[in-house]
Amino acid sequence: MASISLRNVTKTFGGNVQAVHDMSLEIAHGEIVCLLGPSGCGKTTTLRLVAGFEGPTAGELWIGDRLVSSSRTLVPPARRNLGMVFQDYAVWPHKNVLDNVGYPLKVRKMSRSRIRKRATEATALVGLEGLEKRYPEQLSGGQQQRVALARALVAEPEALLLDEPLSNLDAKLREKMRFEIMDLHQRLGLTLVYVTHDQAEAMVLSDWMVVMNRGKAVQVGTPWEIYRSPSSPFVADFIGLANFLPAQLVERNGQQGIAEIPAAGSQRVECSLASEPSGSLPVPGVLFVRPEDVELSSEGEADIEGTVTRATFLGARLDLRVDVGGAEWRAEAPPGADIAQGQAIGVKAQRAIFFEKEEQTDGETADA
Amino acid sequence: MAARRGLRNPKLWRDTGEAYLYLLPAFFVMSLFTFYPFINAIILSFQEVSLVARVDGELVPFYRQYVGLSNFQVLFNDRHFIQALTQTSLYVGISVPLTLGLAVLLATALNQALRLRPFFRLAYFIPYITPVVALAMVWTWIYHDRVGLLNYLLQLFGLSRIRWLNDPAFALPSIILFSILRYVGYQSLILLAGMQNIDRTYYEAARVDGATPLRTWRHITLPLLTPQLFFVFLISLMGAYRIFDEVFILFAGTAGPLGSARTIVIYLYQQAFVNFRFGRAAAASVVLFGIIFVLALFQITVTQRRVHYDQ
Repeated sequence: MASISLRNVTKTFGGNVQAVHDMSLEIAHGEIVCLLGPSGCGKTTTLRLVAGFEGPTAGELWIGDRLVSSSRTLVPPARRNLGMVFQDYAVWPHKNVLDNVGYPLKVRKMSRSRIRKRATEATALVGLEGLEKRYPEQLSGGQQQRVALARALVAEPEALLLDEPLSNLDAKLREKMRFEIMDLHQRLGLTLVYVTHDQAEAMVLSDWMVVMNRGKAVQVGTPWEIYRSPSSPFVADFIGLANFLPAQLVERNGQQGIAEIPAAGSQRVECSLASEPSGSLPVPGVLFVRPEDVELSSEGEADIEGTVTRATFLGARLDLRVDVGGAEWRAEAPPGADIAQGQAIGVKAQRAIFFEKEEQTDGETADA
Repeated sequence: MAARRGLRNPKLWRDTGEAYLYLLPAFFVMSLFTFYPFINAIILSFQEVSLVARVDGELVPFYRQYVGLSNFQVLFNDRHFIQALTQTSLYVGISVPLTLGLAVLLATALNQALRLRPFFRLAYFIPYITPVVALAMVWTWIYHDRVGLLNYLLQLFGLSRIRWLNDPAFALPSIILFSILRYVGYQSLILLAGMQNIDRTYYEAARVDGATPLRTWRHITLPLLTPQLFFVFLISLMGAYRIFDEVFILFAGTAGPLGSARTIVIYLYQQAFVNFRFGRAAAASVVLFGIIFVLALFQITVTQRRVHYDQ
């Protein structure tokens, strides 16, 4: 059983650069977990800690019931029974597909015929049958990444670590590979830890995900939870599109409340609260609204009105920017909607979350 | 696409003309100092040159006369030339692989996380940029019978002295030792640069698989280093055949005891500028050129198939 458990793991580089700060995660066997965040947020370092390329400065890392990393012990990567896939493939250019894939077995001193058999199987598993004798330079990027995947799987690891494996591929292929990785995961039932900066990738793949920023896990949850109920403006901004409207919380009833948007003629909007307000009402802050949660209506039908400054056709939908008293709202409409630039339109926030002001100015604000 | 392509495009002609204009000065200098001597040497190898000859009753300086292949015939019947050929080949065959092998080991050591790496880099580079004449002067002292460093060390360990430069059996080994120490540092720096260019993730992938450092070195470092190995091997092979300066200084312009330090270029030099047999010297230079040319061809065609260039 390859559950992976990080317990208060901290990694400091060169005495003062804190790459990972007090990270605790419990990944159960067979789960897919994505570490998501902007570059430099510590997600790759976290993965390298799990792999054993780095040792933690403090805290413990367990794989199954084995302590593999602490400030005193460091089990080498090869003895963790993991497979790893790298962003730039790391497929050895001087070995052909079969030799690349079979190398982990060769190192384990397996017999030549068994290496051949299992490497061929793994090659077929990732859909590269027939290309066994090719060299990496004769393969496309996607095929090279499949070779890397086969090599990571051939020794039957309990967990697979993937470090931005699809970032170097084009958009179409990336989407295809996402589903193939999911498919492989379902067939093989191994634990997957997946690092990415691509939120769509994380949403598709994850059982649950960890949004990281500046070395910390800022929110842990299922894609649905994180998308619908971001815990901070950073998460809200990083995952999906977001409107942040300066507002004041004027009424409060438990986790619900009513906020006023000064820019929209002090219109009142029902909202849920991200956290307990720290001061007495009215509390200054921002109101977070997803574009798809902005309800549009014809002129004169809604409380708040604005002017369409831009209507961009994106294929599946119409992307709108609406100027409401100087503040820009992003909204969506069906592709065929009859909305033109300059037109007056009614807007209403269907679902809003209120964040207190200081939350946006603390260390978790998106700036990467 | 431009309407007019290829040879009918006036812009192409203009650009080409301009390019040739820029190339002209370099071409002029190279013609004078490379192409002309090169072609002249080949012509000279089929000629006999008299410093002064009486032709039709008149004295003609530097008189050249075609003699066909006779220079080459004489050459291959000259035991001194055969000696020069075999000794040079022996020198190349021993010193080049030995130097390269040591350079690989040195580079591997330098590639470890090492304190004082800049110091070692400098130390290894110094012999290469020091003028060979200066180095050879120092080495004549190191090899000196009575006051030399090497013999001092030998005696320190209770061994008997060796007449490095005066014993026919030690002349070639002395040259080999000198040239190894002269080139090994430079070669190792080229290889080190190559090693440091190898992507870190190649090693990490091997680490996940559990490859030992030795295996990693054999299966990843060496194969990915082949472009540099190939380059260094080719360059030093061709350079080694032309060995002259160090021998000339160490053996004071002679061919060493019983000709034991006679290399092809030493032979060539003596024929041309001691014996004034320019035709025969030119023929020797053509043979040397032929050897290097064949080696280069062989290297390029055979080795290239085993060279791995990282994309």
